[in-house]
Amino acid sequence: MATVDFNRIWKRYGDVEAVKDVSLNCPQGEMLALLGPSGCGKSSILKMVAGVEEISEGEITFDAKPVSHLPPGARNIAMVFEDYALYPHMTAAENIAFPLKVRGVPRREAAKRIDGLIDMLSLDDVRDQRVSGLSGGAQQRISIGRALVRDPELVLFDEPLSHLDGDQKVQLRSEIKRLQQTANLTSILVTHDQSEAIAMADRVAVMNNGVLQQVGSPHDLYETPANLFVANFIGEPPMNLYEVTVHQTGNRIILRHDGLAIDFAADVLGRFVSGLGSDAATIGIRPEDVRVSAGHGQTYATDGDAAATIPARVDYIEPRGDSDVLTLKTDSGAIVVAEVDGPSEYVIGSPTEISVSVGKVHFFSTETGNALGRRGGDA
Amino acid sequence: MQRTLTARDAFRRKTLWTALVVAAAAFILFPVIWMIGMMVKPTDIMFARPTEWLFVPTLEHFNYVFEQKFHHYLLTSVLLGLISTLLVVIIGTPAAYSFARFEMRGKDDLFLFVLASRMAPPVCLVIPYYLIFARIDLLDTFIGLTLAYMTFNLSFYIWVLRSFCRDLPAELEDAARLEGWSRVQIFRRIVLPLLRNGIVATSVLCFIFAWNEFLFAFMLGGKAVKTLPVAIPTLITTQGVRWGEMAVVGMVALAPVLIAVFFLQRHIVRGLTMGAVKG
Repeated sequence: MATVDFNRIWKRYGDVEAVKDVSLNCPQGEMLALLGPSGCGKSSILKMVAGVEEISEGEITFDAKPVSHLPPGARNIAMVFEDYALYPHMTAAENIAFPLKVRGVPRREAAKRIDGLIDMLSLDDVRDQRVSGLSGGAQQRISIGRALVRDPELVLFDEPLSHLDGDQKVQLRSEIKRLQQTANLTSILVTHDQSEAIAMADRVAVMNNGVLQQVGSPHDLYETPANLFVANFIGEPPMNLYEVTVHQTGNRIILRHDGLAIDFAADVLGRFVSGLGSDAATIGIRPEDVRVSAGHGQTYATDGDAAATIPARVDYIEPRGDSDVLTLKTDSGAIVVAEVDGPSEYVIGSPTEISVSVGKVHFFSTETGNALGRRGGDA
Repeated sequence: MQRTLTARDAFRRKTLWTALVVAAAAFILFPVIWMIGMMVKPTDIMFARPTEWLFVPTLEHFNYVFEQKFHHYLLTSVLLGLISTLLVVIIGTPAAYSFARFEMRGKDDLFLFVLASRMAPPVCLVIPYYLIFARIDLLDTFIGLTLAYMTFNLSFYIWVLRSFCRDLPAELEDAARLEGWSRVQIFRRIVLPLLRNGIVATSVLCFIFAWNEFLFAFMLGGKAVKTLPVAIPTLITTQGVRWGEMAVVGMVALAPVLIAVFFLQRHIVRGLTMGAVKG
């Protein structure tokens, strides 16, 4: 197993720049997820690591050894594909055996390893069946078996779960994670599904339009998103974002949005505001950080850390079992999405009061989209 | 009540449908059956009015056909069809795969160029072929006709097989490349087995084209190399048309086509629709 480094990688298809100046590192034994919407360049990166596509510029190293000049077969990489990419004219066992057959591994040793994997992936029942008729879950397990049968330096997972049904997806997700940890596999996972990335990966690299946005643990991305894209992309339901204008008068700072004004002590917000080039900023609040209480409060009040209370009515409720996602509308028409413990008592039209702790508010520059930090975090 | 009514409706509809299909089949099959009768019908009652349905079968037509060395023409047709189709498969399969898989400058133009040879009416092509073949001494030779059929079928074959190739997931090949296989190995061991159905269906169509073809065979061959379609009109003689013999030879000419379509119709339809929809 190797440590993989990406050093200023570019990928161009004609005039299209699919990957722009990406540097990344995946230490031995780690699972790194590349997360982003389709077309963000994550699959191009994977194909360049695998060697099935050329790197336009930059270098990829395994244990500090450059590999970009090596053909795919010489890199000792295994890959698990979205569409499984099993050879339809072979049985399950033949598919798993394929990498060993290609390498001329002695029959007895090969059989031992194949049996071990078939056992580990519970594929005994389908062992001698043609793969084309099998369920997606079984096919993907075979594909994983084929990837692991020959001790690769690196395992690449390209959207491995996206064609599976709900329960198979969750089951295989934990199975892959378990295998990855017990075998201490260095692996890269490409996915557009944040729950997959967060559940499986040690670190997540978020990409958009070919540009790396942020790398960090799922926790880091969630708590301290580096910019508006990450803030909006990570988290379900997504973060509430509001463009505000900042007014500073004496030792008070007032944020205005759509007829709402929230008043803060200057020492609370001062360091974010000082980072702004203009009076425009964007604030972000996670739905679960919105405090909702039943009531009919009239106006807001602020004091230091505990922020305003704003009256709002329930516009829509999405019950999710253990939580309810409320879409709330303030008197001024602003929409606030809140996640409260469920099942809750609210119905459509319920009057509520909402408030947010200042410590939970994320600040971004509207102009650059970059984070200015969060009061509660270490900004 | 409602239920019995619908059941009866369905029965009626099915009966009507069956009757229609039988009628259509009879309409299409009647000439073939009539021809089978003609093969063994004595010449003197061939066109007797009213039709004589009962007669002693005769082999006179078969004897004449063999006397006239029609079995040579049959052999020529078979060999010409098989060899030209084999060449098409050998050259066309890698070409179709390359067109489907690899990017290169001017690929679409080249593909259109390949296809263009199929778009022109054959009559337009036969004249330049004649001139070229005359210059390089390929007129009325087996090799010449084989080459002509090969060229003509190649564009069609590449066109249809390219869409079969496009249907193969590229990930399959990526997976094999990660195991260290070369392009050639992947082509032989993974692509070819998966393309088998497409290759069979498309090459059968090529064979049938070569088998049925008249114009090229007549213009570029005709004496030393005579195919069945060219030989059949010789049965129209100055003493009249030899109908019985024509039925015998016609049946032989029809047989491979019928057999191929019967066994491969599903593949052929799939091959054609794929080419049509995705080409």
